[in-house]
Amino acid sequence: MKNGPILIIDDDEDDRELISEILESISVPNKLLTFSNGKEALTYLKELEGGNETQPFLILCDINMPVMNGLELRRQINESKELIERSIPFVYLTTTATKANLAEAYEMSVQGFFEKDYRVQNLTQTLQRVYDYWQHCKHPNN
Amino acid sequence: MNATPNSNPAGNRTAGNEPLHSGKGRKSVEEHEELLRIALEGGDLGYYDYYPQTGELIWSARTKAMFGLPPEAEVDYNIYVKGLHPEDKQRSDAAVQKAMQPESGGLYENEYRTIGITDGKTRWIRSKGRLYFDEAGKAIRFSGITQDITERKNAEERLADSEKRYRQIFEGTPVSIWEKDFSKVVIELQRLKEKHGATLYSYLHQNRDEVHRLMSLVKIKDTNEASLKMFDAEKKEDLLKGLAVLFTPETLPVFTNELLAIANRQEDFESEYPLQTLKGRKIWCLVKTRLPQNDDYSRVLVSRFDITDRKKAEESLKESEAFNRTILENSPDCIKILNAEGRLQFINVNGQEHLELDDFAQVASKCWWELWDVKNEEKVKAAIQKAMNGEKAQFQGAALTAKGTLKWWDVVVSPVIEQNNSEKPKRLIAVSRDVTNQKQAEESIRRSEERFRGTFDNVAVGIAHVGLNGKWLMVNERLCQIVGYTKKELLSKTFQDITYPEDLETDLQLLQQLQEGTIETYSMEKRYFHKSGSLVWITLTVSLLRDGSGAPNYQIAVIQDITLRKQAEDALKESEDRFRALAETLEHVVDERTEALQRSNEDLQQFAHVASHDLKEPVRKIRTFSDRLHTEFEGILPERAKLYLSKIETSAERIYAMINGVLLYSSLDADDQVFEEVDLAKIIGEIATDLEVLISEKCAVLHRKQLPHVKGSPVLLYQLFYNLINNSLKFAKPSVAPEISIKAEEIGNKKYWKVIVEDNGIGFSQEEATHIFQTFTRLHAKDKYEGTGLGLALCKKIVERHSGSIEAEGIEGRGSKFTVTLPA
Repeated sequence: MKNGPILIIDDDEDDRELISEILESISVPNKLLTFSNGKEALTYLKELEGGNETQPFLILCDINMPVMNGLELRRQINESKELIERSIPFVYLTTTATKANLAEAYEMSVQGFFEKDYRVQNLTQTLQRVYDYWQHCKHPNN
Repeated sequence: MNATPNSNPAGNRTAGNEPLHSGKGRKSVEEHEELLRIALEGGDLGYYDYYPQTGELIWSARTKAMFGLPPEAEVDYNIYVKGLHPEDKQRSDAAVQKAMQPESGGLYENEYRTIGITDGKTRWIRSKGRLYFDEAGKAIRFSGITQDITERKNAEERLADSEKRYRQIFEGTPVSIWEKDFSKVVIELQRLKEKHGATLYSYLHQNRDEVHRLMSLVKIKDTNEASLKMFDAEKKEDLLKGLAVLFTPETLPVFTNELLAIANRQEDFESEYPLQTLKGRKIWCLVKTRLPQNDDYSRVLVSRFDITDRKKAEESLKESEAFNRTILENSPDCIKILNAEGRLQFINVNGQEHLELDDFAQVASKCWWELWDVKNEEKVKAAIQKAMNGEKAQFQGAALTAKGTLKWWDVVVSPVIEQNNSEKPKRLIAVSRDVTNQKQAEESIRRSEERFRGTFDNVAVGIAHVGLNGKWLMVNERLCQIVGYTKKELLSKTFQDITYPEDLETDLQLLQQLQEGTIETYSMEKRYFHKSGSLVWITLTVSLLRDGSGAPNYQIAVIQDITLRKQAEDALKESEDRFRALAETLEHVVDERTEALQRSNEDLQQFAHVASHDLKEPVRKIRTFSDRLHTEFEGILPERAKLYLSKIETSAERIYAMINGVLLYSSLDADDQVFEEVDLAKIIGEIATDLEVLISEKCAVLHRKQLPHVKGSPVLLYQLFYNLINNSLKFAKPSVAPEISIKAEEIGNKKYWKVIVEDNGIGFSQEEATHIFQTFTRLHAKDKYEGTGLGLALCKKIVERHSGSIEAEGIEGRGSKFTVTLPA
């Protein structure tokens, strides 16, 4: 599963591209799947339930999104027994880290919360760390 | 036989000479007889000698005297029979005949009476004689001696008589009399007296058994009929059994005293003691005992009188005396006994207290009127006089007590009716009741009545007493003025008569409640008809006066003319209505405006929040891509492009900072921060750490002094002091190392803390200080000093959120001073 796809969920096309570019720039071999809101991503995750597809390696998710925002997506995942068992690392990547958002996110036990730094170098560093961390991390479904 | 003169003893001798003895020597017989005669005469005895066969009878002179005969009288048997007392004749004859029979042995003895033949005197004679018989058994001589025993017989008779009378008295007397034999007791008492001496008294009183024993030694010999009756006995024998049957335990002590009296040889004694009858009935007895003065205690007479009735009477007399005394002493009145002259003989204890006497002796025997004021003297004397005439006298007066207190008295003087009902009473009884309080009360009632009258007539409100039926009972002048009637006219009406019909129902209902006691008073505004027919507006206040039993008596009404006030009120009410309408309209407008304002305020806040959020993303992107241009095409870009790029970057950065500021500012309103105790020293410490780089860059010095704990939000307070310290660092003079001092002062007795942040920076003018806290205020060109223009506005908002205040003071070119006041 460590080579499973990385899900990038962001309504901003520039951001999806930037994140993808950065991940490619640090030679992430995993397949990158992009979604423009929570609902699209949830639909994808629900289809996994059959079990034929490879288990995703990591979810990078924005908060402010139309249709279904990042917090709602996490809530939906937590309500699915199968998705909980899959335990896909879920990391928020957002422009504004308000107190309320932070509190809610951690209440739903996410695996990370980062602000999108305008400096590419800093953002690259953040993503590199997250990736490395989860690559090294032991996982029940391995 | 006829009496023959025989004046000398020779005659007797002759008479005795002849047939004394037959067959024996005459001479010796004669001698013998002579001797006998001498003996007889000397011994006061007479003699006789009788020869039945010859009928010869010889009597000595003494014997003749015994028959009332002179010595010379001739005697024969007939004389003898004649002299006998008729009652004794037969008996004496029979005795002689009996003695004449030889079988009788010839001895004769008899006592009989004679009636003196010449003197008619009755004499008692004792005769003793002997008969002599011949061989044939025939009496031949009868001789003997006689003795006059009249005196002895009379004595005997008198004795028998006396005994008889005694028995008669003994049995016939109504007093219970007892014959008791004390001899054994006396012996025993003698023995005990020798043994115990002076302590006999206590010995006997302490030893009941001993007294019982002594009691049993008393023998009752006899008692009389009266005792049977007194002690419910049927026969004497029952009473003779012993003392014990009549004794009760209470009898013993008295009996003991009786014993002691015997032991002390007292002549007689009297005592009273309770006894019981054979039927167990208790009776009180007076016992009188006369003790013998010789040593014969075998027949002591004891009489017992039933005094039960007297005892009962005494008891009840004692009781009634005690009762009278109790009444006298417990009476709250002052009770005095006066003698006929009006002098004081007795005052009861309560009375002495009333008169404030320490001792009755102070007034004893004084004339009663001396206790009174001179003014009352005649009154007192008159009362005494009247009472002395057997009438009851009554008067009232004032007098000073022994200690000078003025008291009022209500006095009744009556004569004491004596038992013997003498014409003039000897004593008077005066009962005085202290009526001072009553007098004072009367006086104060009188004064209060006067005051009431004064008030009633002169007061500026109408006052009336109104009967339960509504009739005016008493009205004052003012009420008459209000309704236009005279007093007389008004008193003939009821309040219903002059009440405006529309107001009557309410008034009557309230009055009903008042009389039922559900309310104590009521007030209402109502209308009366003035005599002229116009309406008068009044306020009425009614209360109810109840009598002692709580039943309604009459109403007290206070009436105030409010016609003018009513008119003014109407005008006022009109103006008020107009005003109210206006105010309501105004209020409505204000409400609408406020609502609009609130809405717009909320919109604005929402806008600020959303705007800053949404604005941040494009700004971030500008910065991101500028950065990418900058970093990725560093070598390619011409210098001018790099310059433009850096300007874009600076601007984007400023927009970003401003957006962050707006976001923070607007979130202060929205978020509810939790207040807790915050250690300012710790907060400042954190700020110093976070600004470490800047501080060392600028070589700044931070002075901190005794920072307190305050109530607040740690996040906001951090922001507050961060901004202030950051400002001080930011607005430092270019050439001078910044010195920032943070200190605290307590004000208002630890209720507030003043925290002062002072620096030596560029400062600002006092004019500038006034709008330094407004949003987006910038005092300096942004190229020289960076800033969003929101920092101090945020500070002000934070302080206000903490119910504190912030002031700025500055001297241009010398430094600035911010004073933050926070509640402790």
